[in-house]
Amino acid sequence: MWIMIKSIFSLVVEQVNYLGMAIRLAIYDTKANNAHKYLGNFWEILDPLFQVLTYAIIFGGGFRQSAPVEGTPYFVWMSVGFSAWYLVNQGFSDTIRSIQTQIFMVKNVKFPVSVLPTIRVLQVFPAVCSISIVAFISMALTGHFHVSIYWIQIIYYMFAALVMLFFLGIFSATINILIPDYDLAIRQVLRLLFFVSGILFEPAKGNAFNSLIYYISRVNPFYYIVNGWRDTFLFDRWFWNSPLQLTMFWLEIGIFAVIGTHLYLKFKDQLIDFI
Amino acid sequence: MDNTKKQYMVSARSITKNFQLYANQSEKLKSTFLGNTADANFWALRGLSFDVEPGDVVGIVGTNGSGKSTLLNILSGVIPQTSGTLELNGSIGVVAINEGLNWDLTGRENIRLKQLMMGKTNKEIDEAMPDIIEFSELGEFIDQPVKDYSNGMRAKLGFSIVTHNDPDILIVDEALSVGDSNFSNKALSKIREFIAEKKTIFFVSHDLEQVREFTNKVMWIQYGEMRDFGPMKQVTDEYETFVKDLNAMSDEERDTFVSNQKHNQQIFTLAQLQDKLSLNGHNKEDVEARTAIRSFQGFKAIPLYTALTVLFGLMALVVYNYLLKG
Repeated sequence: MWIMIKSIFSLVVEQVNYLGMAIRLAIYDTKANNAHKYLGNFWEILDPLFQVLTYAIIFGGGFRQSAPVEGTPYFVWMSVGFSAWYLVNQGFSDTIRSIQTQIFMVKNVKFPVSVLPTIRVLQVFPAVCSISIVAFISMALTGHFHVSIYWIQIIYYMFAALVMLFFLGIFSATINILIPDYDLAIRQVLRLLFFVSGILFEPAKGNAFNSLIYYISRVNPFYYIVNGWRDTFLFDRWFWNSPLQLTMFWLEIGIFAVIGTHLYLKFKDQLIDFI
Repeated sequence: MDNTKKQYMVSARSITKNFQLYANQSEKLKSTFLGNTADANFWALRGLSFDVEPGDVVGIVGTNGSGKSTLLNILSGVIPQTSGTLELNGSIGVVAINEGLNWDLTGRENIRLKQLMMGKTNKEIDEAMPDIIEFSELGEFIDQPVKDYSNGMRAKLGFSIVTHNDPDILIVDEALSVGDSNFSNKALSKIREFIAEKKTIFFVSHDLEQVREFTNKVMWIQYGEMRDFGPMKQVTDEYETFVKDLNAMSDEERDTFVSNQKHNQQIFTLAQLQDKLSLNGHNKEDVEARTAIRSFQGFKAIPLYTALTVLFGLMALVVYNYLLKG
C-alpha cells in the first residue's frame, strides 16, 4: 500500500520537476500549430470566445430567454461556469490522444511519458484566461464584480482541477493506446456530460428524469469544478460547506489515480509496441 | 570514469526480441493481460550478448532482415526487448534517414523541438541555432517544412541536430549513404571527432568499404543470431565470404536456405536459448535470470484490489448518505 502511495506521489513530483520544460513545450507546440494560419495564435482565443457567445445567444438571449440564476444574470452565471468547463472538458479531451501523438517525440530522449498529458492541459490555459476575462467583464458590467476573501479558494479549485486532469489524463492516454476506440467513446460521453455538468442550466430535482440528472450532477467531478468556480466568484460559499461532494470528488480522483498509475507503470515501456 | 574497473559503455546479455503476430486487435489486447497467446511468433533476435567499451566504433553488418534495425531500436530505447538485459552508460543519439523528424514542421522548428526535449531553454537554443543550421547546409530550406526536403537534406538535418546534442553513444544507421559526397565527408570528419573524444559509435552500413574504413570492431548478425563479434578485419572477411557463398547459390538453393533460417526464427523458444547457455557453462540461476521474460509490473494485485475496494466502499457510503438526506 505504501509503495502505491509513493509511486502515485512520485508521478506528481515528476510533473512539478518537469513543469518548466512542459511549459516551454506547450508554448512551442501551440505556436507551431498556429504558425501557418493567418490569424495565428489569435485562434486560441477566438475559438473559445465564439463557443461562449453561441451559448449566450441561444440560451441567454434570442431563442430562449433564461431567468437569472440565484439573482445572477444568466450570461454572467453561464460564462463563469463555462471558463471552468472549458478547462476540464477541453483539457481532458486533449489528454486522451496526448501520448499517442507525442510518443515519437520522446524516443531516444530522457523525458518521462507521463509529462505528455500535462503539456496538453497547459495548452488550454490561454483559452481559459480569455473566457475568464469575458466573464469578469460581464460581472463588472452587471455590477456583480465584488472581490472578496472567497476568491482565495480558486487556488483550491484550480488545484483540484489540475489533479483531476492529470490522473484522468494519464489513465485515458494509456487506455487509448491499448484500446483505440476509447477516444471516440469518451467523446460521446462528454457530449452528454455537458448537460449534466450544470453549464447551461442548474440541475434541480423534479420529476424522475430531472432528479436523475440532479443526482448524476452531484457525483460528477466536472460539475464539482464548475460549481466551485461559481461558488468562488459569484455565490461566496466556502468549499468545506459541501463536505459530501468534496469527499465524493476526491474519492473519484483516488480511484483514477490508482488505476491510472497502475496502467501507466505497467505499460509505459511497451506503449510503442501498440502503436 | 572508474579506472580500476573496466567499464563498458554498452553491455548486453542474451537479448531477444519476439514479434507476436496476431490475427486482430482484440487478440493483441488479450495477450497483454494473459501473456503470449499469439498464433505465430517471429524471433527477430535470438540471444545477443556483447560488451562495448568507450571509444569503440562498432560496425554492424548482416543481410537484409537479419535483425540489425531491431537491435538498433532496442539500443536506442524505441522498443523494449523481450528478454535479456541491456545496460547503457550514457546518452544516446541516433542518426538515421527518417529518424525523429516531424515532417509537418520546418527544419528550424524541428531543431527547436529536439533541443527543448533535451531540456534546453529557449535562450540556449537561440545561441546554438546558427551553428546547427550552418552545419546542416540547408540554407533557405531551413524554413520550409521537412516534407518538402529530399532524403539527403533530411539526413543532413538529422545529423546536425543529433551531433550538436553531444551524445555519449552515437548510432549511425545508413544515414551517410544518402547525402552527397561533400556532406558525407563533413559528416565523417565529425564522426572522427567523436572517435577522438572516445565516444562509442555504432555504425550500420551496407557499404563494406565504409565499414572497413571507420570501425575497429564489427558485429555480424545473421537471422537474429550473433555470428561473430570481433576485430574488424576478421569479421568483415568472414561476412564477405558468407555473402559470396550466398550469391553463388542458385536461386532455388538460396530460397530454401533463407526460408529454413526464417522457419528457425519462428519455432525458436527461450528453452532453446537456455539449453545453449547451459552448454556454454552458465549455471542454472544465471541461465534463468538471463532468459526471464522482461515483465512490466504495475502494482501488486492484492494492494491494488484492496485500495479500489476501500475507495469504492467509501463512495457507496457517500452516495447512501446523499440519498438518505436527499
